Amino acid sequence: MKKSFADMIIGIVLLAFLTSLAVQVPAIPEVSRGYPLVLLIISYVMTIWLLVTSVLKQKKEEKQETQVVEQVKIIVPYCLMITVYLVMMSKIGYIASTVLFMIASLIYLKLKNKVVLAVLSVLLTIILYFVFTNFLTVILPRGSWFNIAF
Amino acid sequence: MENIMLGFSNVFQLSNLLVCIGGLFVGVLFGALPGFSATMAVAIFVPFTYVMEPGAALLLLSALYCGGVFGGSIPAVLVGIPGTPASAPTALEGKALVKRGEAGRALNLVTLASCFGGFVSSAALLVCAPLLAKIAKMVGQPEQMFVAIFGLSVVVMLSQENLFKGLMVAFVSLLLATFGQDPVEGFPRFTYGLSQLTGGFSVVPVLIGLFSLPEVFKMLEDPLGKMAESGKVGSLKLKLTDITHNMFNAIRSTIIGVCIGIIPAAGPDIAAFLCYNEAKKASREPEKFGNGSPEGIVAAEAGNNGVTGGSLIPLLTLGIPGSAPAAIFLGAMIIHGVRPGPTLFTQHAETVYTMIIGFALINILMYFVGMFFCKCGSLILVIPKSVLATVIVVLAVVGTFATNKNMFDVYVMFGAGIIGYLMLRNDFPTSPVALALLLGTNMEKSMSLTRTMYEGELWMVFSRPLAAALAVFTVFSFVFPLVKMAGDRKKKQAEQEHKGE
Repeated sequence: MKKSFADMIIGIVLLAFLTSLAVQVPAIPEVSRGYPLVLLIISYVMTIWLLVTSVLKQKKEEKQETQVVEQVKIIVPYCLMITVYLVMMSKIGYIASTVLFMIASLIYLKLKNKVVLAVLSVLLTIILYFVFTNFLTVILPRGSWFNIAF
Repeated sequence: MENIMLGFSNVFQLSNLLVCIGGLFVGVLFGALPGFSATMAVAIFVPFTYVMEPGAALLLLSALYCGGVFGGSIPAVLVGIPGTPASAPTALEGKALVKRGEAGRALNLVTLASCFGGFVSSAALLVCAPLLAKIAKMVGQPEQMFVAIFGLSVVVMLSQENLFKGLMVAFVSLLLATFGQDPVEGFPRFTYGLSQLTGGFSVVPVLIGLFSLPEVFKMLEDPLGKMAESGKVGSLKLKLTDITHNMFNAIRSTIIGVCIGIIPAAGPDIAAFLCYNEAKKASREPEKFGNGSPEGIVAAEAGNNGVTGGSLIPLLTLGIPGSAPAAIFLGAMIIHGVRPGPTLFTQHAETVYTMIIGFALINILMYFVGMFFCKCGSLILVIPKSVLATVIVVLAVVGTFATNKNMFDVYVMFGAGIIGYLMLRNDFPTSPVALALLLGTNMEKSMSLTRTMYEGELWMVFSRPLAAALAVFTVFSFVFPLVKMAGDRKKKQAEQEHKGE
């Protein structure tokens, strides 16, 4: 993949983000608008510059061998796993979701020692639970479907 | 003097001593693991400090910071992989000493030099910070505006390799800092209709995501690998000449380290290389450098640990975070109601002196903790990446949740982590995000108030001597790196032309 292609994609995403902010500007009272508006304009100019230069570079640049596809294959499923973990935290509570996430993560990352896998998942979760609830007085997320608590 | 004594009595409370030792253990562990850093350690453990007294909280963060900077040198010696960039010169010399079967001697030298550098830098912090704070008392809104802009100029120095991308990240991040309420009038802005965004982005979750998850994603690229295969440690004994021949070297390197630390953005890596270079120039045996020179190790380690105390001087007195860990320190101090600046040494004297005295003690304790890690250092490096990655995700999630006790922050942290990884992979620096988010609100507020103070006659700002001086510094800090870069480019061109001929 060409390096400038990634910059081009980033430029397009940033442009969309800046436009989503620009749409909200008229709703801001005039007295609070000046400073963010200046930043918005500068960001727009710089993003357009990045986009233009990356398009121009793309024509000249040669293809480079990258491991993007391999990286995406590992990282995207892992990100999905974290997303599921965060969503499930409010459904089945902190303890159950964290133990399940740790087991799934360690299996996915090919940890072979099953004893370490099980002990680490349960022990770390329980230690963190006790430290946060008892010492730091933080009530960790409780599940709406069911909840394990001590 | 009374405050110093109060600091002493606070630091020597058993609970605070345990906090220092615990922080050092964790910090050294984070520093020793290649890919992990002092910044990551400080970021992840900020939420753990919420229930602590401000003094104890700052002691924990200081111990993590000092331990993290030192820890990077253990793998540098044992496996030749610097845990942090600041340990690169140590790796060069350490590797040669390991080959000669003197890994233990190298590790002892590293620990001793690091503790010396860190201890002297804390003395500099104790002497210089209150003096600078007296000058900083003259700071009004116009001066605060220039201080914030000066702080942001760090971006230019941090992104020398890709200035355009660094500045772009800074401007977009300044825009992100405007989310939520206008700091002067209180009107809501850019909330997308979400009540969670009414107060803007919480800085700590963003920093945790930005500095921890990208490293996890990098580990996933090779999850089966161990950190490294390490060599044997052997005897930790030093020769008497190792100490007597290196006294002046250590003092010189520490002074350079402290000075580099005070300059925003010039972190431990620059100090390590600069001190190494100076030691080589001054050495009677420069030919030994690169072949296992104890002088090289002492210079690099005393220099990079000298930065730790130095980098806190502008932070405590002016509120300028000169590095990513200092930026996280600033975030943590604000959370604890201890706002750095000119009034810090009067309004929060007890807390700040506890931290400074603790900083000195931490550097003494670091020798003992460091020696423990030197003996079993090789064990750390066999922890599989799969375990480390999983543990970091779980710690980052629970730590972020504890910040404001809501899941929205956890999603923000996760988003920041993904964006941070994409930025790293595409050469966008991440440090400007931390600086812009921390300084953005203050900059807008001081700009707005300065405009109101000098309505129609903004140039009158320069009639204030301190504001004028800060303006000159600000311009200089933007222009100097650009001039230096242009010079370096010309030099390279000339070299290439010379080679071509």
